[in-house]
Amino acid sequence: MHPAHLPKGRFSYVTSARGPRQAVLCVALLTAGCNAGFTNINGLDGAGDGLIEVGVGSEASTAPAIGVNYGSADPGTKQIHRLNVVEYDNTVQDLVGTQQTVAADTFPSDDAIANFDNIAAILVTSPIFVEAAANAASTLAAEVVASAGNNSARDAIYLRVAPCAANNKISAEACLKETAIKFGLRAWRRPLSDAEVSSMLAQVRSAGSVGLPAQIGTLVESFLTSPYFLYRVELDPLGSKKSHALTGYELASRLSYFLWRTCPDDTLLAAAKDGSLLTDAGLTKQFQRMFANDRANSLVDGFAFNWLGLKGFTSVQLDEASYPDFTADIRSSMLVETKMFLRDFMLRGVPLDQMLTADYSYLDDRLAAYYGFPLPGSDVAKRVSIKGQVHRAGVLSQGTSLAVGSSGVSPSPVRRGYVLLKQILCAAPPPPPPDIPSLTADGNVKRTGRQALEGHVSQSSCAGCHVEMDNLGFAFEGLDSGGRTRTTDNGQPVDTSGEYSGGKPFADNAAMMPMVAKDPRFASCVTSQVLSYALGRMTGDAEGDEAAVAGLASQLSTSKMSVPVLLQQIVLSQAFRSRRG
Amino acid sequence: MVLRRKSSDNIVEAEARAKTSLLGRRTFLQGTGVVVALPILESLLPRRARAATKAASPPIRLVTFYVPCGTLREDWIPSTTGANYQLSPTLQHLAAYKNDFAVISGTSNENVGNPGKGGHAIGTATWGTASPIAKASDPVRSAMSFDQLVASKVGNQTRIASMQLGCAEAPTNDAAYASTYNSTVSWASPTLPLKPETSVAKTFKKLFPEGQVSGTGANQALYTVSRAVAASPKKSILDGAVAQAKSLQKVLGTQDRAIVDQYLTAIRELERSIVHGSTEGDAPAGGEVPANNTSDWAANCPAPQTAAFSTDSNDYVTQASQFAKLIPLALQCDQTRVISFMMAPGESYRIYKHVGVNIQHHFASHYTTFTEGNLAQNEKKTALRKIYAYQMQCFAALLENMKKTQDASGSLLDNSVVMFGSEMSDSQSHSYEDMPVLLAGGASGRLRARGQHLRMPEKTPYAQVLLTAIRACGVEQPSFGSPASSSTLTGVL
Repeated sequence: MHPAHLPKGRFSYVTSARGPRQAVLCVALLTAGCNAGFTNINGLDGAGDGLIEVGVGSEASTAPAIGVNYGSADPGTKQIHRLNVVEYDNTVQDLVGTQQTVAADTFPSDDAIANFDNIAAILVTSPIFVEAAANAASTLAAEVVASAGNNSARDAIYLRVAPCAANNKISAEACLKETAIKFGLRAWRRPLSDAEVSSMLAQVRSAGSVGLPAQIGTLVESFLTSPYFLYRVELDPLGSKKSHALTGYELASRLSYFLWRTCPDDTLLAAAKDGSLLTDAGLTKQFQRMFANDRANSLVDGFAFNWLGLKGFTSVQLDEASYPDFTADIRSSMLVETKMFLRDFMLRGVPLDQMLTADYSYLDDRLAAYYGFPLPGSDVAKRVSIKGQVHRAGVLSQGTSLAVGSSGVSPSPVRRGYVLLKQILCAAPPPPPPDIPSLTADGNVKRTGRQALEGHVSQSSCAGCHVEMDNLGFAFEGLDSGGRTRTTDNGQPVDTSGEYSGGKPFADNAAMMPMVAKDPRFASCVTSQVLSYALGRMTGDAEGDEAAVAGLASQLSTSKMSVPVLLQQIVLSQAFRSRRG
Repeated sequence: MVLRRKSSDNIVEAEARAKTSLLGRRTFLQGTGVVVALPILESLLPRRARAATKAASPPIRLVTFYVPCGTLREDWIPSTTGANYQLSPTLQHLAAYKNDFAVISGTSNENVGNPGKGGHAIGTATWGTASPIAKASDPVRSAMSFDQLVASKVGNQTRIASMQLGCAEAPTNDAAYASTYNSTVSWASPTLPLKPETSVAKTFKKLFPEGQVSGTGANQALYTVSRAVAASPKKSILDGAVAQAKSLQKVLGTQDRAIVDQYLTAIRELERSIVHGSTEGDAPAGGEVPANNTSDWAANCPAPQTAAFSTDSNDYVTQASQFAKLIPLALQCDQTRVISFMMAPGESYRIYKHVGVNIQHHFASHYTTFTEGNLAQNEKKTALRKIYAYQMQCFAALLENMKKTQDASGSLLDNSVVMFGSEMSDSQSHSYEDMPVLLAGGASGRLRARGQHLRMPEKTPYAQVLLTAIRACGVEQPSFGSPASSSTLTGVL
């Protein structure tokens, strides 16, 4: 399977539309200096020129389905995609079996755009990331080696990495090679070419590690330091500028990092290998299998929680004097409340409009008492009706959202309105202009937050954006920073009334949210946000995105706002299964 | 394969686990200890310095000290200029160091020509670059920052080319721009932002790997051998990674090749910074072992006290005070010559609780435009004054520590350029006019304006401040910024 006839320095991407498909890349090994690490490369004797094949291939019996294109020819493209902190930890936990959260503990925190931490363009390769990743690989390798000989221990991760080490009938050399092949497949999320296997083994030899455990450790460290581990790589045919289907392995990675935020499991890799993943039926089957797995919970943390701007909740600071009851326990109950609530929509198909309007939530006694609701009679959160509770409707009226939309002392109608516009309706106003005028001539008179902000209306440079934004935020004035209801602000009655865009009056947030839920911008915005998360790039970057979002949004609407339906349609779409280039 | 349950399986369990991992991390960081006497840790010493003639004057170091959300302008600008100027209320906190810094007022960073300009992200991203950033919807792009320009000229003379440090706080990305722009002021290239390290313990370990240089002179060293922390990456591993990256580049497009280039550069930097001395079978990564291990500039390097920097904290008060000690130590021991420090990310939402402030900094800084907090203007200003007093004390601590650090000749401060500033002059109006700038240190005699308040002519480009700092470091850069400035500030050098 090695195209030894390929000229040096070129690579070929063999994509046969019919018959077994073997895509193999050959690249020249650049400098003589590199050869030291790659002596005795099997399978390259014929070429004799230091070519290293990069394994990418999968075998499909038919041409891969490119997916539903919604009338657009452009699936978009993205750069090579570095694992983020969460993905790294999940991946090495699955791959190596460690229980450490080495990335969370030692990596620089990831940046985000539009609240998402998995957008390829934002995941830059900073030196401190590379250094931390190299050290993490060492740390994890050391953990693997340390567990060798400790076979009875619960966390004998050595044998998970190298099961053949327990088999006396296999020589150490054979076991090392087997591990390079099998562990390599999982670590690099694609099969290694024979040349790559050989070069990894050569690397172990040149490290001079003595004994199988140390050699396995070096192998693990090598795999985890490699760019093929740290990045999800999707390759384009040479010189291509056109749309083409992803390989089975590339698609497997997209799917598992989308649904699970971790590497593909063996079943998914098998579907990539036999080509079934490249068919509609095979992809649907894998989607449904994975979506039913508990790991799909990552859609709650990774997508929904970030989407709503709630990532900052765990670190939000409120003034302790004003909010003495906003304790660590309450915060923890609030986190559980929102996550359990969001799970209904992300994983259970509860219509998404109810995320904004629902009259139920998940409360334990502690949080119910804090909110002033009847106690559910449970120390663990359970689903309870909150029907009739004033100002309570959906996720934006939960403690998490309310605390995030505050200044630390009191609510920020601007922030609350902004989140609604930006994240829920995708109608974010532009950044504020320079030379912001003062709102009030007499800044030292106490008034309600709303009264003070009304200065925005009279300032022409503010009014364009702030009238709508503030108005949406004012609807929540009956809820304080700590998530409790309030009737006064600075000693004066709060005013929660306003007009939704188009002039429809509302009495408060609970009356406004059904209007938001029915706003046609909502379905389209959610679709666009989920698609960004699924693809790891911001929708709008590619010409075809508008059509894809419109097509998918209409599927969402006709499915009664079922997120699981949307997720499946995204997975089956051209944007997800193909790329330009 | 059998896969363990993930943290997301059970939400409550996930929260519990997050707490455990925090504990685990602390325990982990405390797990160092055995002190062994070993020969000099030679490659800790700067390469070129080893070969350099000993007669030359000490190197000039650059430290940048960034604080977010501007100043309270009425409290910042001194009312008089010249050598006998009257310290302003904010600068009063630096009274003891009045002769160690120059106040530069009157420069403007308005002319960087950003699309849709305004806001903290742009201010923070352009603070060190004086150049436009990409549109919010485009991939992250800025320009090489002035500290990195200096590092690109002098960084090869030390084991670590430059360091970026800061106090922990998740940067906001509420606004249209990626949080990247708020999270750092150092850009190695237009597409490579350098995020600050916020861990004091990790910084210490990087500066003094596996140990510490002792105060007993350049021929002895004490190593603290880490038992809990795995060895640094081995040379063969990094070589393999380089080979794979190069193979990968061959099959990638231009944009992706540039990303892999960043990976390659980082691996090479890592190799360069890793010290020799491992007793493992494998040769550790690192460059050649120099025969001559004497360093002119590290001769005064004291015995860093591991214990003082080995416990980590997410508390900004601890971090700020620890970094104010570690920065002078890093420079004195000549492990690096360029350090940028961020008190907090741009548009900081920190509550400075320990000085009695109860409102998030960003909200307080908009004292007339945001009304959140129900605090009247004067209450917000009071909060700001407390915040700025604290920040000035942190800066004063750095100056003090640098001043009392003996360099090969003079004090460390005498041989450094220390620039203090913020992304805007006045957060409440998002103004980049009249940027707050202090240039401290002597730059080995280059900075003549110490002790003065210099008021620049109106609309003097802020880029001139950065060019002045670059040249004060002895780097002969013709121009800086976009639009480019080719003149330095009048009367400073």
